[in-house]
Amino acid sequence: MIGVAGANYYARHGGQVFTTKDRDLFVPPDAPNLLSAWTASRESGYELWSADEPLGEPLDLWLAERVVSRRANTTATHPAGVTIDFTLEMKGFDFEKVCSERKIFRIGDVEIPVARLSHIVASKAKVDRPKDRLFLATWEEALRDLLKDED
Amino acid sequence: MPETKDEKYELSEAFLRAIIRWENAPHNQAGQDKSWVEELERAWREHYRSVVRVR
Repeated sequence: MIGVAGANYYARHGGQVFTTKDRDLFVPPDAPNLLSAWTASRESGYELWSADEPLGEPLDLWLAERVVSRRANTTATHPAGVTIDFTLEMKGFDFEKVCSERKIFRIGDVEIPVARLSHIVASKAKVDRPKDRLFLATWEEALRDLLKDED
Repeated sequence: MPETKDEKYELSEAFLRAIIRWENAPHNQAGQDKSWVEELERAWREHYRSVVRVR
């Protein structure tokens, strides 16, 4: 897990949790793995999209290989309101670096691999969209106050 | 926060050190149960899905 949803796991209370419409799952550039992710998503009731169009049929290795070669994002949406982005890129980082230093949190009995907050923050700074700047400024302000309190 | 839209967000050394400290804080140790984050996000989604315009 990367992005805002990943950073949210590092919050200590609700005031540090950002709203986000999606969860970014950083996946390796591995077509069989991506195909497995798509298949598991569909079996769990998600619809699959690429950009604003339904992902092509059939879901097979040929399609996954093309998506990987283009480093394209695919999205899984669930009627319950959950949206998952399968992203093949994290600006400034490769998959191995992020994966090897990830943290494992838990949701009950389920393990959630989450990128280091420092990796998420550094990547956001490189992307540097207005919403990334807001994210960074908010975290910087929050940590300034919180760490001052803890000193 | 940058003053102009063309100015890139610079991560200060102090901020980066604070981030490292924060990700190593007791509540962020590996294995911590983060169910409350999921419950909060689920509650937000349910709240906004049920909003109806009344005027």
